[in-house]
Formats: sequence, C-alpha cells, structure tokens
Amino acid sequence: MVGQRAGVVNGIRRLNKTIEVFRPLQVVPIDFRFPGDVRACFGLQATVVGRFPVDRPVIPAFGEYSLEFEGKKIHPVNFIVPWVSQEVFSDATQHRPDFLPLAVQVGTSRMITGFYHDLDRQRLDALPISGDNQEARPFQPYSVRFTFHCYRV
Amino acid sequence: MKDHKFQLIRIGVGASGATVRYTGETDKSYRRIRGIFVALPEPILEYGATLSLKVGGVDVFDDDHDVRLLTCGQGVAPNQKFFLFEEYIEASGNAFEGRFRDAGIQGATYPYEAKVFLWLVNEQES
Repeated sequence: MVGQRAGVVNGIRRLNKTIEVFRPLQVVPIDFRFPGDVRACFGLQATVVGRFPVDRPVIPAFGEYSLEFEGKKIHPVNFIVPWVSQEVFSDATQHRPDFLPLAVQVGTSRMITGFYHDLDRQRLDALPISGDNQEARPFQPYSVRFTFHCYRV
Repeated sequence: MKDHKFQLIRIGVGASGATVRYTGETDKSYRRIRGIFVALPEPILEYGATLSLKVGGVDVFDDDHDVRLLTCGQGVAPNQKFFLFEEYIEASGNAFEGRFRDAGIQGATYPYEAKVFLWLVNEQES
C-alpha cells in the first residue's frame, strides 16, 4: 500500500473535492486551494459517482482530468477516470481504487487548478434501445469526487 | 494483554438521502485505531454514499469522503477488508463522531443499517 512506505506518520488529511457534470463532453474547471495545515500531497484518487444504464461493468476511460499545483508551477497529473459498477465488482478490494501516488510539496500558493472532461461514454456505451421507444436516453448528470491524501504540517 | 478488537458502530438509515450523525468512544483498553471498514447491505448503496469521521476532534475523513474508499466485497478475507491508517490515531477511550450520508439511489431498500467497524490494536507502531 502506497501510504505505508512513509511508515507511521502523525497527521494525514484526506481532502475531498466534488465537481458536477451536467452535459456530455462538458469540460468542468477545477480551482481551489489547499488549507493551511497541508504541507505535501502524496496521493490522489478520482471516482465517478453515478449509476448508468450502460452495457458493460467497467468503462476504463469515462472521463479525463488534468491538475496543476502551486499556481500552475507543477503539472504532475493527466489521467483518466474509470466508471466501475459496484454490483459486478463485489469481490474486489476497493480501498484505494485508482490511487495515483504523488509527491507534491505544498508551498505558498496552495492553488490547485485544472479541468475534468467528460468523454461521452454514457451515449457510446448505452444499452441498446428496445421496443417502440427509439429516443436516445437523456444524459444523466453525475459527480466526480477527487480525494487528495495529504500530510499535515 | 488483549491485542485486537473490532468495534462495531451501528448507523440506522431510515430514508433515502438521509444524513445520520453518529458519536461514541473507542474502547479504552486499546491504544490505536489501525483501520476502518464500512459494510452496507446492498452494493448499490455504495454509489455516492459518504462517511465523515473525527477522532478526538481531529478530522480523519472530512465530509464527502466516499464509502467506496472504505469498503470492499464479500469475497475479501476479513483481515484484508480494512482501510489501514498510516497515521497514528489514538484510541484509548477517545471520542469519535461523524456523519453518514445516504446518496438516495433508486432501487435501494429502506430502512437499513450501515455498519462501521473500527480495528483497534494495542501496538504502538507497525
């Protein structure tokens, strides 16, 4: 487990930032500031929060995101966010899904900026439409939750 | 000396979208909280459910912490189900509090009971 490489540490903050996606292919800006007691970020998790009528249990690239730290001075993250059906993956250990190890020292700026981009997988992976109703399913708004694992000062 | 205890916190969720506050104290016979595991009766309840936790007034998980990061499926061995804390979190009778928020998923059955297990140990470090 990644966090254990540092041994037992005294203070860890797990900060959550949630964004909302309302349209297919939407680009959602990310812009916030770490609190004052954070000195370093050692990991990041991003999870899609939503349940969709799609025809497979895992969509490996549901969306993509990019994050910059310290007022755009450090740009360590460009990655994808999968969507995983909880019903199908009932046997998996999912404590740290898609944990990305980072080693970003937080300096004076504390700014985190970037974006999340929806990749329109709700439409592309939708279940086939059956019967007389041939209308496409409407886009289902969802959230993406970023969890930053940080050491305290 | 007793080395391990799995302390159960029961959280009753009465309705879709409910937010339930819970409080308590850790068993004073144990020094450290080693891990946490959240068990929900149906996997679909895990979509969007959140759990916050404060121990001794210090945030361990802030609001909006996804339950999916603290749970796992039925096929995982008991000793591997827990999210392990890298930091030292004092148990020793420390007060804890938090909130469980149900996400209001369609098709779920209410009421239900969310079970939060704290893994308490007597080791100083591991």
